[in-house]
Amino acid sequence: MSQEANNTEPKLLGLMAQFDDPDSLLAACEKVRKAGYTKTDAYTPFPLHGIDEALGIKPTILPWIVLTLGIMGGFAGLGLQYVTNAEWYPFIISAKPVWSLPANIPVIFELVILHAAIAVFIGMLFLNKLPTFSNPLFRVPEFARATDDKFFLTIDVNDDKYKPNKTRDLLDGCVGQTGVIEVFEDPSPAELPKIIKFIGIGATVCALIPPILLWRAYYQTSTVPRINPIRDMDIQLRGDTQTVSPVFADGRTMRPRIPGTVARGDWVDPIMLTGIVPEVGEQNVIFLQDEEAPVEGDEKPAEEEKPAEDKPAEEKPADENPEADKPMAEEKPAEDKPAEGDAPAQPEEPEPNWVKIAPISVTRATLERGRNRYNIYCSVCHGLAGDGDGLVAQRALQLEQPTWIPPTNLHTDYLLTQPDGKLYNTITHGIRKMKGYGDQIPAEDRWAIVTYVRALQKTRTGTPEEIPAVEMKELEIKGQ
Amino acid sequence: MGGHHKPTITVTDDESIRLNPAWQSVRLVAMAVGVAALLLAMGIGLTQESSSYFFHSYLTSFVYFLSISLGALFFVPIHHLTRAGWSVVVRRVAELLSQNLIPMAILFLVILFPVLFGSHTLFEWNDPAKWDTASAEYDQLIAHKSPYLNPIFFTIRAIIYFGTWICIARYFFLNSLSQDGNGDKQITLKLQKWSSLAVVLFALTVTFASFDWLMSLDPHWFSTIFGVYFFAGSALSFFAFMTVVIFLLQRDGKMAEIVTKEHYHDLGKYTFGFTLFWGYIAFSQFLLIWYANIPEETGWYLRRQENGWEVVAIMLIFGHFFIPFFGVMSRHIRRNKYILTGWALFILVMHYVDLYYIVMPQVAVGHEHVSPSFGLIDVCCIVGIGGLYISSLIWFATDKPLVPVKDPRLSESLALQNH
Repeated sequence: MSQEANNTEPKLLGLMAQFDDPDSLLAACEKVRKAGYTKTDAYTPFPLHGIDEALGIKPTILPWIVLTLGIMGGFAGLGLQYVTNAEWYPFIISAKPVWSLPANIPVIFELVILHAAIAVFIGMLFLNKLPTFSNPLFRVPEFARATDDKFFLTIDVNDDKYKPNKTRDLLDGCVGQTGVIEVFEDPSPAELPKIIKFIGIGATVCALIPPILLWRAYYQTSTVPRINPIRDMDIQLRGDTQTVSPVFADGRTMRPRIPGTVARGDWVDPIMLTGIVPEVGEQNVIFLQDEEAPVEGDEKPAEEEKPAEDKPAEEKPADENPEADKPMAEEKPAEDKPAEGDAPAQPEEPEPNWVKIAPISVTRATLERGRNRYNIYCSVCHGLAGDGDGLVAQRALQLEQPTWIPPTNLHTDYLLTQPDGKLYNTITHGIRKMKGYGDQIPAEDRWAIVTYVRALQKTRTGTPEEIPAVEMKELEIKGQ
Repeated sequence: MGGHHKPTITVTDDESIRLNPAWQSVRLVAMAVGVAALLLAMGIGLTQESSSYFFHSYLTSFVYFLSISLGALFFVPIHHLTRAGWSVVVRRVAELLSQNLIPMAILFLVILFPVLFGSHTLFEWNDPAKWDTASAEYDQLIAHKSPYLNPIFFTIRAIIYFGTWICIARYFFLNSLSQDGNGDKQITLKLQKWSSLAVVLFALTVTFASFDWLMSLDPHWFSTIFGVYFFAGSALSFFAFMTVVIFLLQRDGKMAEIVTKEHYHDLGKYTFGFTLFWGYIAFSQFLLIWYANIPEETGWYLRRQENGWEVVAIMLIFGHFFIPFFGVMSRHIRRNKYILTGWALFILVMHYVDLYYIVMPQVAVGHEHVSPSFGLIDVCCIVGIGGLYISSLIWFATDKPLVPVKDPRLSESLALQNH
């Protein structure tokens, strides 16, 4: 192809008139425009007033691009902050609402400026078809002075009005022109040299290596510590768990919870937490860490689940609780009210007013959660089916340990008639040799276990009539 | 600019750059109406149970017109300092506007005398009981600030402010006038030299004047950016006012060929820029106070977020910033003197709302804070001070060329072309 181009006559692209002063150029531009030419352009060493009008150049659309992108930048800043502050990381900072407009305005402002500036830059390049590495005009020796002291006007051959001789006559007739030059297409091959192509491909391949490595590292596990280019997050002034602090008198870095307070996000409804419905007039405040003597004089319904230092951090993600609590807290009173009115309010002696039915909504998900927790925490002793024949129990019997008290069979009548609240309380605080699981299992999971235990019991006590007809049919099919 | 030279253009000093004699009757009417309106406002305001409303309303209107002249006082030196060429044709109007600081000094006596005679209807800090440790009214913060906020020092400062402003205004005006006669180019160099000092003095005096007259209305409150906030509004209202004045002059056929759409375009750019600047500063003041949430700072805004003032605040956000910001954003609007003058009038209204928002919530009847209640007293104060302001402006402008005809940069200004 390049061979052909070399052999043929170079193609004429247009005519260019040269001027020595801007006024002549302006006059010539007027003349050319009035003659009806549209594919024209002017080149001057400095910005020239009136050249746009003289050539009939339409006003640029750049301001609209900038305005649009600026506004989009503003909304991007707003959206970014809304999503991060209000949706993804809803942290309370300085007692401000999680999402508050005044704090967002500086970022919105900056992003408007950023987007507008980028729009100006990219838009200007785009509208000017830049970067252009080569232009046929560069091959015209006289054109070098367009950046110095000469003024040029070009007419494209593709212009509708272009007629070889007429156009030349028109330019020749311009006052003050100092030469009309023909501009030809660049005859040198337009294709990139091979070496540049190879370098380009090589560079592209090399540039892909870091993202591929990143991608690999992201999806694969590794036995060596990760590369950490910014180590500030590892080496920082902070109190690690179980370390000594010089700041506090007791030397503990981990601070015990202040009595009478509830950490943000740790609030659990007292009935949910204890499984006990308080008597009318009884103080509705129970603290686990000092439950023998409830704190006096605190009006607010506040409670504490467990001492902070005992709490395994991974056991209970902070954001899990508030979501789980709300629907349950609403349901509870309706269920519990009828249970009142029997035992007189005595702090120690009589049975507490146990919650009769677990104060959580029983769904398939709850039961699955209960099964999961039960199998982890309970089945080792009580057995997967609740018969009190877990692996630990079996092993203990094998070893004939004298102090071993066999775990309770969950299908005994005693447990069948127990209120849910009491069963829950046993899980929380333990009974006889069984330890309490209140520190390890969050309240809603303990209730889930209770419901699962009830489901286990139902497997022995249930009658065929209790099974819905649809399910029964399925079972019959399966049975055959 | 450019490599080509335009022939020098001059302006002939004739009737086309003098004030239309018809304005003389306007001057008399404005004077009469102004005095009558002020007397009416005083008559209503001072016979009320509490004169607090009248004094606050008077202060609002006073500062409103003062701020326009202060903007003019900023415009003249800053354009000398930067050797600005484009602004020469409109500079005389700014010089004339700055002359109005003289009548403003007289009008300030209405505020100053009560302070000197121990009134604390306007300025709470002037109450001696607040300084007296034995008194039940004792206010530790006000007592602490009393070395600065006391009637004597207040008066001294007011004299310094007005003295400085009037000196600057007269100096630049009289020198510019004498150049009209002798065409001495040295005057331009001299004014340029002194403008640096004038700008520094302007910045200091305007900052402290705004502290004294506006910020100290709530003596517990302080905002270090307040001077800039006041300045931003002043400059903006000045550009708007000047646009209107030049529009009116051109409607009379004056300066017809002299002030072109290029100059309107530049005034429009200033208007646009200072609209943004005002919004930026106003928001900066709010954001820091909102974020820090310190009681002695938030009180000022808290008072302006209740009793209906929150509506005024929203009005300012949109009317003083967003609406004019997008309104004068387009080059085509800035180059159209009719639309630009319309926006200038809008901004002038909003500037009054801005000052109303600063001053009027401080009106305290008993211990109740009032809601916004724009009424007859406010109208009378605006008409009164405005009438006197316009009347004196016409008086200063009479028989003076409205363009500095012999300014060495006049030719450059006449040939102004915007890029």
